[in-house]
Amino acid sequence: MKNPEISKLDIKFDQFSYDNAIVRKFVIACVVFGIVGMLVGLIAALQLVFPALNFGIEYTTFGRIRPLHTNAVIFAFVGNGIFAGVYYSLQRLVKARMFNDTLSNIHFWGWQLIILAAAISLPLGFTTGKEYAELEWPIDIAIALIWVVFGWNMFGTILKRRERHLYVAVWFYIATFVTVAVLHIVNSFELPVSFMKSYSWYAGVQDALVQWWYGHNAVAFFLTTPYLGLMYYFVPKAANRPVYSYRLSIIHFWALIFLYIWAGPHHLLYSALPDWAQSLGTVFSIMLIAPSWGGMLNGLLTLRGVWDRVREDPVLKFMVVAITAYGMSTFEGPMLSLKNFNAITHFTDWTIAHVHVGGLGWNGFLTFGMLYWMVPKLYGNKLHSRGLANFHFWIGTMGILFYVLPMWWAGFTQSLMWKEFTAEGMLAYPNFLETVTQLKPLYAMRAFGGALYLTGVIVMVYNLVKTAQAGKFISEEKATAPALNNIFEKPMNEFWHRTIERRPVQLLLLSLVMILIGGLVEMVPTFLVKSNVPSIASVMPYTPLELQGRDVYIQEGCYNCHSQMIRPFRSETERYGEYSKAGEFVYDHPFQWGSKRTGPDLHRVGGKYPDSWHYSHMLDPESMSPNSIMPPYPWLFEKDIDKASTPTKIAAMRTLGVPYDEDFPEKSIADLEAQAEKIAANLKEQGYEVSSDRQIVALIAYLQRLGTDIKGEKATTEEGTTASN
Amino acid sequence: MKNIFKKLFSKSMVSLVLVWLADEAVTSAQTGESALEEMASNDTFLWMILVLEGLLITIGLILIVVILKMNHILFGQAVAEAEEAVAAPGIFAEWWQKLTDIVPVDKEEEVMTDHEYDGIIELDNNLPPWWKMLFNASIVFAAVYIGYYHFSDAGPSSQEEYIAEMRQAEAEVSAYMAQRANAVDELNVVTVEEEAALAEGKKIFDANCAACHGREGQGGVGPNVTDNYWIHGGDIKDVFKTIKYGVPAKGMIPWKSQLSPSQMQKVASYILTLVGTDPANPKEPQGEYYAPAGKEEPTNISDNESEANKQNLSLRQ
Repeated sequence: MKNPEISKLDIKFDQFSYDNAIVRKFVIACVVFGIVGMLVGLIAALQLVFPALNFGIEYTTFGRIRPLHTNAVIFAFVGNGIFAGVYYSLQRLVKARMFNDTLSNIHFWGWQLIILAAAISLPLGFTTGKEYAELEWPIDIAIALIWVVFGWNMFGTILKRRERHLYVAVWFYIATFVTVAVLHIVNSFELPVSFMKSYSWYAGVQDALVQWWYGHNAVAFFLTTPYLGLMYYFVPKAANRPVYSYRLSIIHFWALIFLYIWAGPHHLLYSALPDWAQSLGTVFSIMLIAPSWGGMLNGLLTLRGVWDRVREDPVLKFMVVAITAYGMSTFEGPMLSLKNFNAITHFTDWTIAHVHVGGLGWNGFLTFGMLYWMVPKLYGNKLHSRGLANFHFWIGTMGILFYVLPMWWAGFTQSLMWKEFTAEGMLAYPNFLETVTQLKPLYAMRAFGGALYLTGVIVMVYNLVKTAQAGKFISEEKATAPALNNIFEKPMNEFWHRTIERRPVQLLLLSLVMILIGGLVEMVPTFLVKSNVPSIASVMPYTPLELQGRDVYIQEGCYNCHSQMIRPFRSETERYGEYSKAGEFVYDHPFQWGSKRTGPDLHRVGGKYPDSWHYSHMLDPESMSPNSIMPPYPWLFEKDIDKASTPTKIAAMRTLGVPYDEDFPEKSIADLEAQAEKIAANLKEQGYEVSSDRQIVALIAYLQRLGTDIKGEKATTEEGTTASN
Repeated sequence: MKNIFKKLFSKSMVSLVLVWLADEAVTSAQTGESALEEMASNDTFLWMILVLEGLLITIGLILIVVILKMNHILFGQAVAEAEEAVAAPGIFAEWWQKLTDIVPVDKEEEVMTDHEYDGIIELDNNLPPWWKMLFNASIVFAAVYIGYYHFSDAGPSSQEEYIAEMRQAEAEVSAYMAQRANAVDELNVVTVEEEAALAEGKKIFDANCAACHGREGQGGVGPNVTDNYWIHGGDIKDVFKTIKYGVPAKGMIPWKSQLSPSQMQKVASYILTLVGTDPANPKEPQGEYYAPAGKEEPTNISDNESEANKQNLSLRQ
């Protein structure tokens, strides 16, 4: 069909070119960081089978490299993939060169510097302790700035477009930009205490709500909406088929962005989050099935009539599996949001299986499909080897299966073991470790699956490099398009939505309103209505030593394997103790509830074991728990507590509303030393000589404090930390 | 304690039972793990497992369909024919048409819009009716769910669910305990001497106690249990009591929720056999001297056990 404007006689054709150089840069970054991120993931997976694989180095322990893996694959691999795809497709969809080459380059190099900073700071233990938002405050600011550069450049391009209407892919790009900005800024509200250390502005239940509003929508607006945009461009291009349904695009776009933002609380089912918020998380997740599947349908049905080409074309094969994986995980997700299912699957490897269907299947395979299609275009030639691409497809698919099936099974097995009781009313597997060692073969299979997948990616890189070598890079791709004149006559019987498609700024504002509603409805009452977090009189702020110990806990990434959230189930209260109450976390900046139990919950570990048990356990976990897969932490016995930071930290906590006395910051070092001396003396009595300056002492103080506040009279801070004879 | 959803789901899942049974055979063979059967005694749990299995199977089926489709595409003839076959008249095709409201590929000019972006054109097929039904159903579900849990008295809160679960468990356990005569406690416990019972006691000790008290009972984090000095008494009843209730202030955890009374009896008896063994690297004596008493009257543990097992079985049925 012809654009009606073209038929006018006074058409002026513009000559311009597309910037492919920036696309190539992002493509290279995408595959390089993809391999790095997946390799780190593989190492982390292997550590669960062979704990010795951290080589006894603090920088490579699971608690530090798991965030490195998640950040690398989400923000470096997928992030650069998004930018490569957006910079390629946006220019062509709006018939304009990128707004400003300098901005493009600032965006590219800025983003890579952020990744570099993450790759250095995370292994060093600089972390905020909030999942997928671990990067510390200076990097957070850099992310916000670079993201604005991206948005500015994108909007500049859109505003000088030669295409009057915006295609659905661009709607998704706009919604992505505005929502990620909101999510990142709100969740990163933190109070700096030093160059690379900050405390979350929010505490406990509120922090958890904000974090999972962010965490869930990082999945929605970083891993989903931009990729749907890419799907809407690359699938019809690669298949050379019309998009199935325009009206489906409209309804699924608006429904998706409006509903997605509400679903965060499904990560907190049966937690201390108020029930009403949990229920909102559940029902909005269920309502998301259809809008999500709208995207899947539009993708798959665009391939109608060319299924025979799917047989030959690896690009289409990757895309078909990617879209199918999207459909599967957007069905599985809502099911896992039902409370009854969640009670079984949460905290287990089922969650890991679920995210990897999305990550490996949807994001990974769509990226590969896109690269196999786009790179030859950038070099003006054909793909080096179709056979190798097919090999990549099959080994990648096998990789996904070998990854996901064992993890499903592991989650299922472990959950049943956690919940099983004997007729006498006792836990059938009282020793948590037993439920972990059972999973080792499954963990090994998962690592094998990951290795297969990574092998495929390496084959792809070889294939793409060969393709590039054989071709000649087209840095500036010439294009011609009619200039957009200012006179526009609205056609008769125009579909109402076309009006919005002509107005990018309004589209952005409308998207912003849509995504703000859900967040506001959930957050405002949780922050303002007192009854949502009933206060508990006996809950006291942490002592300076405990606070330092908590920072050690965060620095080592303990939350990656240990939760601090006992759910109201018999199987959990029998195993761990009284279930967790909202009022217990009011001084937790940030919250440390965790999302996965590779090790047991720690919320009530305080006072459960003697100090000497923790001492021996942290030095060599196997001495206290034979066959444990937890790594030893010998450096905590050598490194000193950063005592000098204590007054600043206490003062920062006061700013955040923790009720320490006004003169407490200056007294805090003395308080810390006194408590540390007590613990060291107690350890000495039990036969363990350690200087009271060491980090292990602070960590023991924190662990012994955990969950003891509501144990009644006995649970004052003093006794909680120095329980001894 | 069952809510509407469990009922709803369980009904729709009845048809999956047969598939599940087959699946279970495979799975238990895979891991050799009996947790599944054990859990089956619990009704609510059974249903949940069924639903989960249903979910797994659904996803599995989708996977298989996709793989078959791929396989077909890869190795079979052109699928375009198959797609046309769908359009051929017949009940299935009619239904298919009703559910999808799809315009066939050869007539797609009829629903083509005048949109064109970088060569991409858009059709404007109607929203698939099945998809609209799904969307509407999910909205109805949401309204019913919120109404049930937050605007009626019927839906339990998380806390109410917990209380009900604990109550039910308590009733089940006390019913079981009532049937069990002569349950061992700290007032009537006696030392057992059968080799098998002591061997089991050793196993329990190695798994749970050795970490703190040493593999040979020589002590470590916890006190030495091979000498004649005891902090909380060295009689079988004292040792049993210390194990059962623990000494939380000193880090000895209560084991009553992890070990059964007869297990605690066995491990206590085993510990007393360690007295006087004089292992290497003993921890210094703590507590008061406790003169080794004369042999306690041994009890016939195996009788107790088989009795318990019988009751255990009868309870399961």
